[in-house]
Amino acid sequence: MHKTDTWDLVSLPPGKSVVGCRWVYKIKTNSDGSIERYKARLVAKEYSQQYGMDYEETFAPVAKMATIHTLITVVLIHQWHISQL
Amino acid sequence: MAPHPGISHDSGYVCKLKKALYGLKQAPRAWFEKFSIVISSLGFVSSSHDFALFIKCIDAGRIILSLYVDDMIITGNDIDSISVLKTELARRFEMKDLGYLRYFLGIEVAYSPRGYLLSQSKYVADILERARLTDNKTVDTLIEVNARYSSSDGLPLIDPTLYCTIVGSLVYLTITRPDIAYAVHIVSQFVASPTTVHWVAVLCILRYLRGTVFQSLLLSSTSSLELHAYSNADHGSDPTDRKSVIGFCIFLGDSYISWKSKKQSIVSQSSTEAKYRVMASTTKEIVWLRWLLADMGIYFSHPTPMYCDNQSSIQIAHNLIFHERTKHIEIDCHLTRHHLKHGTIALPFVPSSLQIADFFTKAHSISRFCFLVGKLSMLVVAAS
Repeated sequence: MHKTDTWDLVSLPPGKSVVGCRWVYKIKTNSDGSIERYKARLVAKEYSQQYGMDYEETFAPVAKMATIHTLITVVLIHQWHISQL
Repeated sequence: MAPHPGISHDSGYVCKLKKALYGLKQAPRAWFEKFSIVISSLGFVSSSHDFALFIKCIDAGRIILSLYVDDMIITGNDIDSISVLKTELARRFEMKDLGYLRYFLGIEVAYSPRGYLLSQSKYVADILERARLTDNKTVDTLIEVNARYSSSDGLPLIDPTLYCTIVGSLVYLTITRPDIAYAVHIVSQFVASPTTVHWVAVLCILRYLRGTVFQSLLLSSTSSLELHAYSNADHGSDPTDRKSVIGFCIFLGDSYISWKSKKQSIVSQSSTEAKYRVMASTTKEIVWLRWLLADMGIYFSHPTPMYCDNQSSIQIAHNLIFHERTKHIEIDCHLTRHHLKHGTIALPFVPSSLQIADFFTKAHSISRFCFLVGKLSMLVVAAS
């Protein structure tokens, strides 16, 4: 978190509220049940955020399924290389 | 944000976030913006017909990236440029190269000599488990012919949550299972207050799925790159509000790429009028797909055929004479007529027996159902 420079410590501006956060721990296992790695993630408690006060726009586009069907068909007919990330 | 447990700080101080954290309402938007900036700096342009599609034109052709939150498909006709892009993305973000397309958003992609087979068999198994069915029955069709559902049938469910989650999952399943699209469109009308009768209809869908877990959608590798569409409506089929159900499906060559099954938002006075209105919805989808395909480098010089089984609707689109019957559907008229006049679409007639969009507007007998499933290029693939 320090490495990615995620936040600054500041005093709370008047009239603003604080969003809580907590750590979520997860043990990632391999398919045979052995432990692959331990994962920790800091999450913000979004349910305390209020529309208009703490955030306004949240829409993010995702691919449409018709686009994915179309793209895969085009790829097939052109015999293009297709991979995923 | 409150400083997280484990950080040393003076009281009264809080963390001012410079970046989005997982769990914030703005997080998906912030991620998309960050990704857009990076991908734009690499020379990609977001398509104006699907904002999550990024395209870069190069001398050798084009590179296309389709983004779905943090999953993406990368393709194009220049392998070197693709690997440059992957290296660059891996450097900017911590990303794993998953190699050849196999499993994307819960959709399994299998390769066959005839093309790609898309299926969601794992997802089906998951839904069946969540629904906790107590028997092992299977059924051949989804909804009885002429069965009519209304919101007042049966007794309200004590816990509607399971109904809602299962129906929600079924909606996602229609991506590769157009065979359940009509039935899912029916049950999804009742999520606000589901009853025992509606739950029986959901169970019927689940039993049908249990018998057809490995049904896959074939995207053909040998077909042409020509678009064609079928559009149809079942007039006044809702017993409560007399609204019509519309359906269309669009093919690229032999591959089925887009469809809809939906109750109209307005009452139509006749079958002709209902079918005329669905022509407008289908036209919109065709126009959009033609633009989208142009972004992928495929251009059409001739009209896209939109098959309809109603001669009067076709006549209305061609001829301006039917004023008395059409004055109240003016906007729809203009859209279809405009694109017909400008050569974007054509309106050939198809007999009702070959009207594939029938599949999305009503329930069918087993033989007709199987015939239509075959027309949609759906195959059963053995478990791998």
